[in-house]
Amino acid sequence: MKWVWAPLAFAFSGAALAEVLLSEDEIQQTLMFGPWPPALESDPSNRVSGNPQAIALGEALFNDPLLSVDGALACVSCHDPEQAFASSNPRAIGRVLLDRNTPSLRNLAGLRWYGWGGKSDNLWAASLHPIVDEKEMAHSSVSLKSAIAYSAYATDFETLFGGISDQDPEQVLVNTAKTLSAYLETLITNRTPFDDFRDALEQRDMETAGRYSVSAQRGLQLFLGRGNCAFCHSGPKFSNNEFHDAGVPYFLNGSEVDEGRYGGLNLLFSSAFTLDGNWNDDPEKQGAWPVRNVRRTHADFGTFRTPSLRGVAETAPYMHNGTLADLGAVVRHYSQIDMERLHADGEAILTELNLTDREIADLVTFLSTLSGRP
Amino acid sequence: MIRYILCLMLSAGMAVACESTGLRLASENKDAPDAYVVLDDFSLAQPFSLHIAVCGENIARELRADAVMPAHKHGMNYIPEVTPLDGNRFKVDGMLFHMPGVWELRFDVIFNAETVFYTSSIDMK
Repeated sequence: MKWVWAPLAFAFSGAALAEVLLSEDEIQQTLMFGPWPPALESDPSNRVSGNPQAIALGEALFNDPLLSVDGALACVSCHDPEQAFASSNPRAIGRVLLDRNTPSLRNLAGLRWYGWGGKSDNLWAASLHPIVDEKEMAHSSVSLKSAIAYSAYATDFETLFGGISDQDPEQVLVNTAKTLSAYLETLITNRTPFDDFRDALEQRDMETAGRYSVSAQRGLQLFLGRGNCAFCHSGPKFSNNEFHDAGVPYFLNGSEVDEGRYGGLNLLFSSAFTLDGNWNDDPEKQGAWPVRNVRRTHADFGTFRTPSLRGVAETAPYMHNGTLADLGAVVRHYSQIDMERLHADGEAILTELNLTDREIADLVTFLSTLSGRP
Repeated sequence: MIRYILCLMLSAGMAVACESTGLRLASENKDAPDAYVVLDDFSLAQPFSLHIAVCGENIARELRADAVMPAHKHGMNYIPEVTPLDGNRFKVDGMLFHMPGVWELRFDVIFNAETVFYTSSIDMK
C-alpha cells in the first residue's frame, strides 16, 4: 500500500501533493533507523566516561600537539572538526602516508569494534593506539608521562586520576586515552531530514512525512530493497558494525596488501588494552564477550568495518582507502561492482545493480539527507 | 531500540511434551526426541540468548549451537557459549545476527550413543 496525503491547503494553493511512496513493509524497515539521537550511556570500562572534567581535558588534549612526541601532530591534525572530524585526504597523512582513509570520529560511543580492521574493542584503546604508533604521534608511554606531567594539564589530570608520579607510564597512557574517549563520546551528529521523515512515519503524520523529497524516498526504497544496502548499513547508526568485503581493492602496492579484519584481529588478540584486559574499569567486564568469542575465518582477509552513514555527505572521500571521491562514485562502485574481485568463497551479498542515472541520483539524494546539512 | 519482525518457520507448533515451552525444532531423524527453543528478546546486530529443552528419557550430554545465513553463505561472527542446565535443558549465550534475512539455527544434541541434528529458521526483517 502506498500512502498519499493531500493536505487541505493543497485545494487552495495548488502546491505539490505531499506523498509518501513507501509501502507498509518499507515503513516498518525505515523505523529501524531511529530514533535519533540515541540515549547517552556512560562506558562502564572507562571510569571517567561522562565526567565533565574528563570531557574538557580530553577535548583540550585532542587539540594539543602535546600528544605527539615532537609536537608535530595533534589528533585534530587528521580529525578536522571542519571536515566532520575526518580529513579530505584519501589516505591519512601522519609522519608518513598511512594505508587507510581517516574515519570520522562522530557517533563512536558504544560500538563493538573500532577502526577499519577492528583492532580495538573499546573507544579508549582506539584513542590510545595513534598516540604510540610510530607512524602517527610516536610517543612512548614514558615520553607521554613526562609530557603530561610537565604540561599545563597536570593539575586537571591529577584531579581525575591521582598523582602522576604514582602512576606507571602505561597507566598514564591509558588514563590519557580515557579522557580522549570521554570527549569523543560527546561527538554526535545532529538530527537530519531523514530523522524528521522517520519520526513522522512512526507518528503516522503523513503530511509531515510527505515533505521528504520524492527523490530521497526513491533512494531509500533502493537502499532498503534492490540495493541491499541495509544488509550491512542497519540500525540507527546505519551500520551493523561488522566486517565485509565491499569489492574495493586491498593492494597497497605491487607486493603488499591491507589485511583488513584479518590483521585487525591479530592486533586485537595481542593487545593489552581490550575489554578482557586489566585496564577495563568494569569489574564485571560486561563488554568483553566479543573479544572472547569472535570467530576467526580466512574470509576475514580484506574485509573492513561497515562505516556509519550518518553525516556521510560530509566525509568524502570514501571507502577504507579513500579511493572514491564522492557519493556518486560510491553508488556507481556498487552498481557496477567487480564480482571477480570478491572472495569466491566469501559472503554472497553484493551483485551488479546496473542502476540508471536517476536511480544513482536518488540514492545520492537519500544519503545526503543523513546529514544535518543536505 | 531497533525493532524487528520475527517469524519462526518450524515444523510444528507449540510444545506440549515434557512441559516445555517454545517452538519445536525440526530434525530429519524421525526418531529424534522433541526439542524446543525459546529465544530471548533480541535486536538486529545485538547479542541475545536462547534456551533449548530436549524431551524424553535419554540424557542430552552436550549441545552445540550455531547459525548460518544460507542465502548469503556466511554464519555468525561469534562462537556462542552453551551452558548445561538441569532437566535436559541448555542456555546459549552470545548469539548475534548481524544481518536481516533468513537465519538457520543449527543444533547438535549429543546423547550417549548418537548425535541428533536439529534446525529451525528465523526470518529477521
